Amino acid sequence: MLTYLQGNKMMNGIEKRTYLAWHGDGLVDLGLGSVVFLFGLGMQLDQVLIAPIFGCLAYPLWLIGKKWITEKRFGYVEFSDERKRKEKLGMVILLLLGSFTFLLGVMGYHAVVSGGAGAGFMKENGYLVLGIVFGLLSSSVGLVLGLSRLHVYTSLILASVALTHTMAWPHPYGIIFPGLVILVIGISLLGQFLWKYPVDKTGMSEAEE
Amino acid sequence: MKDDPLTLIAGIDRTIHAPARLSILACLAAVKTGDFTFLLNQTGLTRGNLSANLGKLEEAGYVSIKKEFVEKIPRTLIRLTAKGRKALTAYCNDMQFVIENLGG
Repeated sequence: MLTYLQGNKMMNGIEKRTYLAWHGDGLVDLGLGSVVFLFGLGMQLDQVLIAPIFGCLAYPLWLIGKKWITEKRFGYVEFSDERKRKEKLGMVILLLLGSFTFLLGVMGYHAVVSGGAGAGFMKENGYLVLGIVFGLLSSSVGLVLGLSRLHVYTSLILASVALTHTMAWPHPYGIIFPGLVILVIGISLLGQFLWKYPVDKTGMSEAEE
Repeated sequence: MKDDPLTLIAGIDRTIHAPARLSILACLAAVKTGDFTFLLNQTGLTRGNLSANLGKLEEAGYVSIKKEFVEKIPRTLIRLTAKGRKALTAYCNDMQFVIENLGG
């Protein structure tokens, strides 16, 4: 007789609402925004290593943030096994996509430096390719975590690089601008989260129970 | 008994029927486990109220409460037991039956 509860729309709704609230801290947005923004800034300043270094640090930083900001304020919660399986699959997809992005970057860099067959294409359309890759990254994270706002970021990134390309504006700005917007949204979400879930200064929540 | 919604109402599980306890059980049914702070935030109850209602649910065997220390910080983990899940399911089914049959 557990069928009603297991398939219950209300329970699914509560689970989804809880899960979205758990990710309402803006840490995902801050991570993604930082990578995109730093990538554009790195290109502009000819410091291409900034973003990849931060990219490697993003996941550990996210985990630390989750533990010291989210868990401390929102409380500890363990989601269902199904949700965990989805997240694990998502991590594998992200890892593959990250490796693909890295390979693409190496190939593009090699093509430009060696002046090979793809050099012209990469010089002309490199930022478009980069925009598509960042869009894929954003949408993948959005699909994995079930956060629809990340698909909006994808549209923003794609629109920005396409507009920059069409208007012949300096290419790094096409990456810097959406990165900055995502960062601002992340900061705003984090601010709202900190306001909504203050730290329990009394320390009574555990002791009292 | 199942044929008569009015008789069914009289037999509704009162431990679950209280709004505070129902919201606690609904929260716990949606996740695997959660701590006291999590339930505090999700249900909007006060500490004292949450604590008292958790006590009643534990007494009924609907939730299990485990205290542990994580890096010297105490944490109270609350989980819905199999008995609690079964009772909540039965309560939901009963209420659905009552609503459907009294709704006309």
